[in-house]
Amino acid sequence: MAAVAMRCARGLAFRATKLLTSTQTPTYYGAQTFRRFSRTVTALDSVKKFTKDHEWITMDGTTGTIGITYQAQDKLGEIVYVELPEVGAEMSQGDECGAVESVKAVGDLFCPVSGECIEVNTALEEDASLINSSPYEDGWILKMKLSKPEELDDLMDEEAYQAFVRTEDS
Amino acid sequence: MNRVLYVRNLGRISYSEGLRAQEKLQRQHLDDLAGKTKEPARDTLLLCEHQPVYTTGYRKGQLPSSEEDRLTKLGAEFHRTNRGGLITYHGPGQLVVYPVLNLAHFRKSIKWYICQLEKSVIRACQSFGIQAQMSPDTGVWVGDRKICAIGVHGSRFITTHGFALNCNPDMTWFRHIVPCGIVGKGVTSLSMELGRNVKIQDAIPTMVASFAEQFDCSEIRHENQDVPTGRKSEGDARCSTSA
Repeated sequence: MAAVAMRCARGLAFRATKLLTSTQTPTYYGAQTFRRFSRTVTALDSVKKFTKDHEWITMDGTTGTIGITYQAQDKLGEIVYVELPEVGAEMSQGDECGAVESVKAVGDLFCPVSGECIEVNTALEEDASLINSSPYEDGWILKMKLSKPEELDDLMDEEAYQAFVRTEDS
Repeated sequence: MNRVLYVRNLGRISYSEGLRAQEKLQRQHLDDLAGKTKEPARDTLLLCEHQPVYTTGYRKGQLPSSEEDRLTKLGAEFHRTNRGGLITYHGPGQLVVYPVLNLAHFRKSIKWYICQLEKSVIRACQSFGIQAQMSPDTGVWVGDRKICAIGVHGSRFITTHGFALNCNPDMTWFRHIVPCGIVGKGVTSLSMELGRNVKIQDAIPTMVASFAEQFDCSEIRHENQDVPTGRKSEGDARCSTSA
C-alpha cells in the first residue's frame, strides 16, 4: 500500500479497487492526489473549478458551463448588463470573453479555458441580475466545448478557491 | 499599510489623450500583476480637463447614431467607451479625475470602490461648505442636482475611467442629454452652489487631499509641477446653440 501511495503522490493515474476504498481515509494521502481520485471515482458529480478572476466552470463531458462566483457578484454589486460572448467564437484561456456591468462599473470576463463558445445564457439579456440572485444556476453565462481539457488542472477546486478569497479579503 | 498615491496633472487634453494615458498606466499594472515588470506599477490619480465631449458607456446599443450626429453638430466630440454608466458630458470647467489603481492595494471590490469615490467627492464638497450626498442613483448629489458623475471600468481590479466634478462648466451643454439616463433630475456645479466662481485650479488641491484621505493613502507624490489647466478654464467653449 505504501508503494501505491507513493505512485499516487507522484500523480500517476493509478486505479485499483483496493485504492478506491482507501480514498475514504483522506489523511493517508496528499490532498491533491485524493481529489484527483475523488473525481475519477465520483465522475457523476459536477465538480466546480475556479479561477483567480472569480469565475467557475463545471463540466459535462467536454462541455463546460461558466459563470462568475458568489464573491464576484458580491464585489460588483447589482448587475445591470452582461456583454455575452459570440456563439461560435474560438477563445483561448485568459482571453477577454465579455463583460459584466454593475451600477456605474464594468468588469471584464476572462475565459477560464480554451475552446469554442457553443451557447450563451440569453435570459441575462432580459434580467442581468440573475447573476446576483443565482450565480451558480440561473445566472450561468456561457457554455464552451473545451479544446484543451487539461487546462482544467490549472484551476482551483472549491477549497483552494475559498482559501484564495480569504487571502484576498484579508 | 504604506499606500503612496501618485498624482499627475495632465492639464487640458483631448478625450483620446486621456484614454491613452489611462491605458498606458493600466498596462503597467497588468504587467505588474503578471510578473512581467521589475518596477512596481504606481497607483495614480490622473487629473485633466477636456474640450467639450459627450461619452457613452459600455451599453453601446442603447444610443442610436442619429443621437451621435445631433450631439456632434453642437460642436462637441463623441466617444463610446468601455466604462459603466450611460451618457455624460465633459468639458472646460469640469475637473475630470481618472484614478488608475490596483484595488489589491486597497480592497478588491468594485462596489466598495464606487462608494469610496462618492465619499471622496462628498468630503471635497464639504471642504467647500457644500452638503452633498449619495443617492440610489450613482454620483454625488446636492439635493436632486448632480454635481459629480461617476463611471468606471475594472479589469482584474485595475481601475480606469473615474469621475467628473463640475467646477464652473457652461451648464448649457448638459441640456442636450439626459445625464446618465436619469430623467427628471438636474445638474449643478461648485460655482452654482456657492454663488461664486470656483475654477478647476481651486478645486484640485482639495479633491486630491480628500481622495487620499478617503482611500487612506499615507503619502501623495506629485509627478509633475502644477500644470495650468488650459489658458482659460471658465467654460469658455460655448455650446453652439446657446444664445
